[in-house]
Amino acid sequence: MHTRRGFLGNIGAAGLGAAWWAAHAPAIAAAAGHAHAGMAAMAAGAPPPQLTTLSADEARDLDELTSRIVPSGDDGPGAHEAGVVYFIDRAFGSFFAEMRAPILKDLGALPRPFPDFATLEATPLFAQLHFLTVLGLLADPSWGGNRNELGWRLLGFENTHAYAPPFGWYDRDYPGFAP
Amino acid sequence: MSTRTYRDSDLVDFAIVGSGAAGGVIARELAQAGHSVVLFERGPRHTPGSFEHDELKYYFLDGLTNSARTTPQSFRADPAVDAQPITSGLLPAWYAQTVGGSTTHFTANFWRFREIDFRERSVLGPIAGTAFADWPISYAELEPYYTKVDWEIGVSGLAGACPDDPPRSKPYPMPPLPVKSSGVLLERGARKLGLHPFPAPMAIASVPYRNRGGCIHCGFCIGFGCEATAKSSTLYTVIPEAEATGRCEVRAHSYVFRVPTNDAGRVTGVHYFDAERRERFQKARAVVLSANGAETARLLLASESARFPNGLANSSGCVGKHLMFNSYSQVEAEFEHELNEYKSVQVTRIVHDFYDSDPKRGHYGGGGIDGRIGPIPIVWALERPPGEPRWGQAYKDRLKAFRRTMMSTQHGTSLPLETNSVSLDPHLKDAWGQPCIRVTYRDHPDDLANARFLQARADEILQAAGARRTLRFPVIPATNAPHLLGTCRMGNDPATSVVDRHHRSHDVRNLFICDGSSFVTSGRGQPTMTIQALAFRAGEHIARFARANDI
Ligand SMILES: Cc1cc2nc3c(=O)[nH]c(=O)nc-3n(C[C@H](O)[C@H](O)[C@H](O)COP(=O)(O)OP(=O)(O)OC[C@H]3O[C@@H](n4cnc5c(N)ncnc54)[C@H](O)[C@@H]3O)c2cc1C
Ligand code: SF4
Repeated sequence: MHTRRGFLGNIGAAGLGAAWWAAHAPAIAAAAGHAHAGMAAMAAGAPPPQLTTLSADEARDLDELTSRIVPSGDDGPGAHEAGVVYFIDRAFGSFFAEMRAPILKDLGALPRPFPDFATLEATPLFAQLHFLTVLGLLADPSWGGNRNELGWRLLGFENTHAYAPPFGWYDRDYPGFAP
Repeated sequence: MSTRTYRDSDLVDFAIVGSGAAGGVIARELAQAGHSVVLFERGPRHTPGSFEHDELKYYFLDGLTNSARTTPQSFRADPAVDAQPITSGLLPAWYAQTVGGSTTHFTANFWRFREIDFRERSVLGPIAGTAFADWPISYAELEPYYTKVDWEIGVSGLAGACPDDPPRSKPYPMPPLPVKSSGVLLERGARKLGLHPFPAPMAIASVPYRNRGGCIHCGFCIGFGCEATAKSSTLYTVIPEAEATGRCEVRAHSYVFRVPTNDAGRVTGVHYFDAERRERFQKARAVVLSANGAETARLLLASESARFPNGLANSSGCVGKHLMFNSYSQVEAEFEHELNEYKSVQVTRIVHDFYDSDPKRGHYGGGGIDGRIGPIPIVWALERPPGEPRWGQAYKDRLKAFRRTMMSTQHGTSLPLETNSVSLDPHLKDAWGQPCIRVTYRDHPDDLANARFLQARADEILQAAGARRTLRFPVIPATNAPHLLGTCRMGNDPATSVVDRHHRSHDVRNLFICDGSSFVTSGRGQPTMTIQALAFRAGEHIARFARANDI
């Protein structure tokens, strides 16, 4: 994976002082290796993660709702394929534990089949699900979502962390600044 | 990395509180002048390799910043009501809590003030209901120190590119950063309208500079530490230079909670909590507070005593008051082709044609307009303005326009109001049992009008650049800010200011205060260049006082 490799390569190209590089290379390499291992495991088709805090029903409901926020379709995968529900499952068991109870309570109170989002949009539940969907789609895959970087690919964000100009279409033929 | 350590019982020359923009500079100046210095920092110390490009951790789990979970704050717009405690999410006074302070994770826009910023009250006259005032120093007095910041902190830019640039004694030490598509478009639109866009001065090494690497355009810039050492934070510049003297200890994980005074009315050192939350006391001949415009005021108010019942150095009653955030607005624009704004630094071109206040606009104020990356993926995808789709295919289509989208941010003036303040919340305590910051803030109507005015100009520029669509984010009263200014204002009159023109507190001879709190007016939005110029100047004066045995 190119997560940090490009970053490391370009650091050299940017002409960092040799002394700086010698002092810090081990730390950066360790960080890169860590990220690399996680990604490699994911790409190698590691067994699908188990749910730890959500029941199967809750997971199914959340999958349906978050998939309405970012739907799957011919134009590319959505929240479902990115594993947003597994991200939420993990978040509820750890870093966003305080969100679990209120969300599951509101979820349980929703009528079935779920109402249209046009009516849901003004509710606190929608705001929280939107928040979690975006994070599950776009946070670093090490948090449990954004599987295979599907969320980043949807945006067209390259996970490279080091670039050289030109960066985009409009700066390609820039003639230089003339006051 | 720390080369020298002191014991609490050692009487050091200076205890400096806060290792950010100002504290780092002052530590170096005093250590190089031959003094023993302990630089106190609440947060941890990072190395280039310990910073992470993790948006969730840094933006949502307080990876680098002060945290509502351990140090809540409260907020109110109306000084007559109880403030709302903020115990999760974004804090009203938001800063990086780590060695280097907010210079580790900031955007690094580095604008000098202009001559007008220091004497605008004299030029424009008073503004009713505000504490609008001149500074006790002039641009000319500060110019040599701005140049010091350019060269010793490291600023990239192009001298003479802006026709209205204030006079400068030397060019920039490094060329501007390579232009991004947002910069090209801002420049194109602005030129069409007869304006004068120019390369943004940035505190980022565009090329390798003084043992630091040049920018590798990683794009994780605002809100992140720089793994390439290119961002000119104090962590990579003056702080290692202070340590290299062998006289400065940087004491991380050390939370100063009280600055005590003796019977003679002098400060004697600092009480602090160490990493294990043990209470300790460092003896010092003099104390310098550089904990930023929120925390410096908090610390003074929390250091009240029989002699200073309203808070240390607060005989004027001004400590904590006149808080200024810098007014702010944003326009988003979508173009036909890819810009890829997630690459490289935030800003490469700016427009300063609306810098000066103009009575014809019907309100006080001025500012600058930039072209930039919106925040990187998560924050951009979350922060959709009202009326924009937030779910379904329409939302997904917006997400897919990420690479074709840019932002323009407008940075402007905030008037100093007595009612906008940092004070101690009467109820809320942090995880160390200390009183928490209460922020009271309501933008002056002119500040909001100015933000709307600048936003309309930015919108015109982006349309002239050929945007397919532009979108103005609603201009709403501020409830939080990373710019924390004015709470210990500088002045000649001890009745209306907290520090004198040399940053010595009017009330206590051996207490100095220099950081964002020293500001008299807000400038046009990028305060840190001026904070650091003030800090170089303060460091020089404090060292001079010490030499003359006048502390
Ligand atoms: C995301 C972001 C982007 C920004 N972009 C820009 C920009 O483009 N241009 C610009 O000019 N400005 C920008 N700023 C603002 C800029 O970072 C601040 O103006 C500047 O860093 C303030 O300098 P300071 O010395 O006043 O305080 P800080 O840099 O905040 O340093 C204060 C330090 O004191 C420490 N501290 C606080 N209390 C205590 C205590 N009790 N004991 C021990 N230590 C303590 C803090 O942890 C901190 O490290 C940005 C800020 C943020 C957050
Ligand atoms: S964009 Fe450049 S200055 Fe900013 S963090 Fe990345 S390498 Fe450092």
